[in-house]
Amino acid sequence: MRRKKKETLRRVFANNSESNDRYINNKVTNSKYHWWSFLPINLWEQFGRFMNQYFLIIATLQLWTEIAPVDPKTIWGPLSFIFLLSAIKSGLDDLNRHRVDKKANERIFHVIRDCEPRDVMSKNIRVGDIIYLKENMESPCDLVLLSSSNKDGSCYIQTANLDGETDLKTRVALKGTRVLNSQGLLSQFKGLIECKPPNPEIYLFDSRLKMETNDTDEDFLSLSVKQTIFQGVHLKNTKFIYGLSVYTGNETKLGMNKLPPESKWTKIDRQINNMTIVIFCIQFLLVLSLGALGSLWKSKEGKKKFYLYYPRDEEWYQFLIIPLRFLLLISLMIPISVKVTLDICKSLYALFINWDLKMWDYDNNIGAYANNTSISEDLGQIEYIFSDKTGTLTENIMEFKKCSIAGISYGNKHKHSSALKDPRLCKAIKNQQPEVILFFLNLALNNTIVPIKIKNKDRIAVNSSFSQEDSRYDDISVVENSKKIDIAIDYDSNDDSDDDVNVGSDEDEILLKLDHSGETKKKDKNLDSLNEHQVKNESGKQKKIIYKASSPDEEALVKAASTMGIEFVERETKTLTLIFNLHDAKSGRNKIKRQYELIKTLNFTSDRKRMSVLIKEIGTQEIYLFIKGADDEIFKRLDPQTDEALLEKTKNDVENFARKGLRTLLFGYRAVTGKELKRFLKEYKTANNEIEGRERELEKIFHKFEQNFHLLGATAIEDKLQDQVPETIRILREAGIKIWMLTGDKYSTSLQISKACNLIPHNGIVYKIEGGEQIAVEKCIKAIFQKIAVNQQNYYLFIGGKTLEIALNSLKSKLIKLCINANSVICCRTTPQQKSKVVKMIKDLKKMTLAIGDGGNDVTMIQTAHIGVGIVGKEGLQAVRASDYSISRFKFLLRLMLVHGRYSYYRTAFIVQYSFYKAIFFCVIQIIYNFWSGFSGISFFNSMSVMTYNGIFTAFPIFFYLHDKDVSEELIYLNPQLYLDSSKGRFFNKKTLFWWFVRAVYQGAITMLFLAFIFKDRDYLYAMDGSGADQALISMTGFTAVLLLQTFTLALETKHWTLYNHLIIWGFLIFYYLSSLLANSLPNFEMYYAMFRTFSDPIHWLACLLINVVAQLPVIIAKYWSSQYTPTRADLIREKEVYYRSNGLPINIAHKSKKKNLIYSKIIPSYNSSDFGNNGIFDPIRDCFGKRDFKRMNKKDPLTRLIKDNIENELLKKHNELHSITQTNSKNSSFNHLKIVETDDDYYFLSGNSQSMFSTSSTSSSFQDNEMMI
Amino acid sequence: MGGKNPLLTPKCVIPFCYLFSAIFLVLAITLFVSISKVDEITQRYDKDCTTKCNITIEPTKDMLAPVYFYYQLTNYHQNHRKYIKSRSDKQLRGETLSYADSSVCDPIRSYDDKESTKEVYEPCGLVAWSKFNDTFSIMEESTQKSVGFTEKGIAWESDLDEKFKNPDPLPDPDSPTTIQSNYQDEHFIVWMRVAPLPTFRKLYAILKTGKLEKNKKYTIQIENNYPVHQFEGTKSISFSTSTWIGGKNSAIGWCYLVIGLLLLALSISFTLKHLLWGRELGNSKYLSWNKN
Repeated sequence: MRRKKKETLRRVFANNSESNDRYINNKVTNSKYHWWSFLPINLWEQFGRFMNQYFLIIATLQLWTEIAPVDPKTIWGPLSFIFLLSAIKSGLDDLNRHRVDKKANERIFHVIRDCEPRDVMSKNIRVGDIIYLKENMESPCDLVLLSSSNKDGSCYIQTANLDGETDLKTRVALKGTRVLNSQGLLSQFKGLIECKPPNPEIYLFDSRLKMETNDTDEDFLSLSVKQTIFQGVHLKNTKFIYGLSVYTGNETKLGMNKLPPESKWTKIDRQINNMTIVIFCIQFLLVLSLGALGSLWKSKEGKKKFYLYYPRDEEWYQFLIIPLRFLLLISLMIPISVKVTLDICKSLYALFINWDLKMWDYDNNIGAYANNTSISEDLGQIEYIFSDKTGTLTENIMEFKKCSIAGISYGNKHKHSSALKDPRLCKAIKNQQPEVILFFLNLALNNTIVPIKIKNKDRIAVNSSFSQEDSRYDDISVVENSKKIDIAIDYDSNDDSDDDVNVGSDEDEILLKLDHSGETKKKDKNLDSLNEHQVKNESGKQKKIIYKASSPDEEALVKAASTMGIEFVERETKTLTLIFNLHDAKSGRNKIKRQYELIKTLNFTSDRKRMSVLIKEIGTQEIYLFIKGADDEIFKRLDPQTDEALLEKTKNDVENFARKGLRTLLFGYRAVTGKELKRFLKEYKTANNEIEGRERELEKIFHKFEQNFHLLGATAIEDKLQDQVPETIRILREAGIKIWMLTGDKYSTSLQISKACNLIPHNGIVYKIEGGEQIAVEKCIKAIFQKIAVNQQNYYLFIGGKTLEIALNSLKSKLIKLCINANSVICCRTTPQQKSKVVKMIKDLKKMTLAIGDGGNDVTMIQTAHIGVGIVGKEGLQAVRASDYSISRFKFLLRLMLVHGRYSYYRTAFIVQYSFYKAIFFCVIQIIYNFWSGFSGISFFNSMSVMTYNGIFTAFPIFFYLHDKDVSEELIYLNPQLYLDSSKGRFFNKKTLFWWFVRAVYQGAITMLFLAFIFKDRDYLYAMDGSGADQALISMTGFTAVLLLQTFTLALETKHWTLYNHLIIWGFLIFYYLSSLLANSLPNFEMYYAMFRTFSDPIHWLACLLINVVAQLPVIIAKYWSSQYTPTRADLIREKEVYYRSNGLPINIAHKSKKKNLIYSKIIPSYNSSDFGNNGIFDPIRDCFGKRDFKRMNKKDPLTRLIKDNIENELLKKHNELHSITQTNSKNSSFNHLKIVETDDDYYFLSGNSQSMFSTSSTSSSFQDNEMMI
Repeated sequence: MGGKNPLLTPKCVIPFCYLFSAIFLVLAITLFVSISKVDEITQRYDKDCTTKCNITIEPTKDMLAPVYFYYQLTNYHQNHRKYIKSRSDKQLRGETLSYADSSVCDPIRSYDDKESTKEVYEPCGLVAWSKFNDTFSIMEESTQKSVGFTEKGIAWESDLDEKFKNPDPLPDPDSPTTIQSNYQDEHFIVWMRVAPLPTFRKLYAILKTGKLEKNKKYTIQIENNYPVHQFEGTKSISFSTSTWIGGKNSAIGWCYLVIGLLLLALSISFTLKHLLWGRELGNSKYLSWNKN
């Protein structure tokens, strides 16, 4: 299928499929295997793993009976089982990918190929096909726009999947092709496009088009990005388009931007690998030394022993035999079961995530989902989070919040109230105050929005079929609504046009879309009133206006104006129609239709930071110039005679708005005289005709013209943050995680949002790295370094996309230094590739990274990071598909990491270390026994014991460690610093491994030495018939002791006991006794009858008791001592929890009932509890020294104390207004009397206890807002 | 799901220590008392013995039946890998062993290394081949009368019933391929139960009724065949009575005593530490660093 020769120029012929044959078809593949390549590739992959190679070698050696210590079946059975399981797992995963691909590949599209229209599946689309796309459809491949339903060949697209930008972009077909807007014309089209071979540049498309292939004289027309519609792009606000496909399949821009799916290894996996290598080395040394000892014994002692029958001359390989025997004997040190155990555990962690109702989004009915089932532990190890902005931190819904008109600020009363409901503003409108009317006129006129009328019957038609959903969601926000209407239009076009094809499949498409919009519905009462504007037209029919906006800000402004009674209803090329729906003193509501002539629009650009419209009111002939823009731009263009007080007031308001994280815009106007207008238009015309420097000239004219404005006022729009984002970010910070924001949005918006969501405090020091060239960037970085050296404070960093590119390429080390010392870094105007480069930069520093995003532009970042989290958002499912975990709200990240991540890490850390521990322990016994058997490599335990030890008795009970928790969930939220336990790897590091290793060696040695001591020579005789100790007897006694020891070890390590633990741990012990008695009664077994003798022998029980006590004693003492006298933070918190629970104090209310749970959960976000050392400030000294923090905490550091006291004072000040939840703690400890008490001086969670556990500062507002914290 | 989070608090650890200390000390005393009731006489005989010799023993106390009579070997590695594996349980159960299957018996496999099933040793393997072949008979010295020791019932009953069966036809005792003509010989079965450690005792005979009287001399007539000098081993004989924990196993008594005392010491020191420098449980002051 693939071309062998490297392509230099791609020539695409329309309606001539033969000449395009060499290009690949449009099949998108993300899967790894075919059915025929599955076995070889999978086996190859499995054997690529060091551990598997090792096991294979060991298993092969086992076949040589002369060296095999036990029956070869004991290793081959488990090994093949493990391989099979692993293969099945990857097979199923791939099957799933196949299914997803298939779904994408089998969408039906209407295309024109070889002059004939036909319907083809997405995968069969070829280069050169002319594709028909309808509104809201997703482009299946990269297209060159030929024509659209609009006469001027324009169309709107949304490129969210590609670059994450949700605003609409225009694409214009070339003049030559835009007339070809029907099937008939297009099937005659014989054009040729020459373009570059496939490349990942999404902003570059240099190519040319010839209308007639055969016409040699004809010149090429040049094509640019303006004519392209890339794969994954959605068509919007345009009925249909035709486009010629140029790149297909995985060669599209989107496909080229996709990184190949890489199998991810968790940090623990890598640590396990390292540990395996270390153990392998230890093993090697042991083999060498024991082999040497064995050979020595053989030549010194063994040869003297006639009963060993050593021949005088031996085969050459005999010197290898003893070392190899030891190799096999202690090969169990690397437990074969660990991989399978871990795989199963990991799948279960993933299921825990999928099943977690506390991450269930009840608004949209979506839960969390783990796409990658094998990396949950890494969720507990994250040090850096890279977050997208739009749709991830924010809702991507703009809302008009406040305004300041003529020096009066509206909507200030309440934090959450809208200016549109401010009675003062309504009054002003009612009184028709001229500034206010002009202000809203400006809002209504100064934009690029297209209002669209919708007949009500269409809406009803759509609604009726989905009424069920509608009734469930009474309040539907803007976005959903517009989506609904979009569908209505689809129906329209289906009815009207004859050449429409494939209604059925389109309906499917619509259904899909609708499902999707149903999923993303969001309740929002505030928006409700703005949503629908119904106008009665002449015939009395209900009509509805919706606004098609390229920017959600503009939409919010126009809607605000409309709410206030100035409704923008129609835009024709030159005429704008408004309906004034104002109160009239005499006749109540009165509708006046007014029309305006749009003379000129001075467009918005990021350089100008302003936009103006030149308007003539039809009727009065008055000409106005309305301007809106960023504050600095507007303030310097005001009339110099503007009232100082008004200026001051407005500036103040704008600043206030900005401080609240709102996006501000300033508005002004001026009247224009006819003469002035004439001069301007003349100048404009001449400038516009210039070829060189046109832009500059135009800007000069605009600048001159846009002067002397009267200030109207300012607006403040909220890019609504998602629920609980600031709290989430704060808690994540306290958990010691750095959060960066990587956004494609511009600087000012990013800054505002990052302030609003707590990423940057309002007084935080922000440095911006600027510069378009290397030297400038270098200078800038240097300057920042100097400032940092002087200031010595926490700082925040901003980098723009271009600057970032330069810095990443040539100043990487400096950039890294600057970035990792910053509290947070925000990258704006970044491309997907740059995002992933930033992630990679930190990843290369061996930091654990997590990327979270919702759009197609986050895909590369999500794939680069150790963990990618996709938010099921409004921008399609690309991010979710590429991600390892998908969640529906940003706030669930908290639970995903702090609870699931930490627990997974904690559990895996135990399971891995325990697996190695029990294996080493077993091998130590085997090795020590060889000291009494002439280092001959004998196994102390029989084959049966060896197999069941690893395969059954120690393998299964540890699965019940899967729901073990060292600290309960609520307490992790209350003490986010506990996350450092996992992110700093406190459960699994060299130190813990060392202690497990010591434990294994000690306990192994104790077991064997005591056994030998007790069963030693002449002292032992079996009380029943006087026979001496026999190998079977001592080995079975040993095995019983070993299993008891392992059972108690598990019991000792289980921190959270439930009925299941008891059942499993003690159940397995009983199971052991029963099964060994059973095995004991089968004559063919080696251990026939030995168990009866063992169990009836008091020595056996005495030995087991003795060995267990001696082996566990130091462990218990060490645990007791450390938890009592050098406790870790987790120990203390756990202790407190247990203590409070056992006294019936309120920590456990969260478990008891829903009602209490709710109250409890509301406390969590405002948990500024001082009692837990949880003062809201992350203190690295306190938190980075696990063991020692107990001692350190008691030392009073003057600085930290100061901070702490300040916070406490603030809290005390605050708490007078606060509600307090008090648990009445009666002597009978009837702790069900939970009540909410409003008191003045007791805001502690517990009354009557000065050392209270939680202090709460829960505000009344948080009761409403923070419903789903845990 | 509810559950309990147990803690290692002084309240549970210290009583636990005391409890185990008490259990261990009580057990230690019981063990020592029981062990003191066991009588044992052991004597090495390989040094001064040629092919035949007599050894005399004189119990200091009456040894009541059952009295067990053992032979004891030292520096004898029955647990050596080469040795332990060199047997065929299948053959010992009385089934015919083909030459191919007899590879487990390496190096004692077939007579003259012939590759024929008929030539396979009966039974094959080092364990059977190296069977201990000294014999003992115990007599009262004064009367030269045999004491009532019996050599029946020294092997595990289960072995006699299931694991060792004579082949059909019985091996010809004169054939060079026959190592042991009667697989159900109890001395043979006892020998085939390999010992786990290089010093071991194997039961030879039991005095099921009567007693070995105090201050009476008993002679043990030994036929000394088994070579041990070349590998610096020793051979001894031993008489022992038994109690509920078996023989004179003082090792376990000492273990219990030492551990019991250790636990007691630990408990006391924990108690002191807790009383003098203990901390309040569940007190937040250890977590917040500025509260007094």
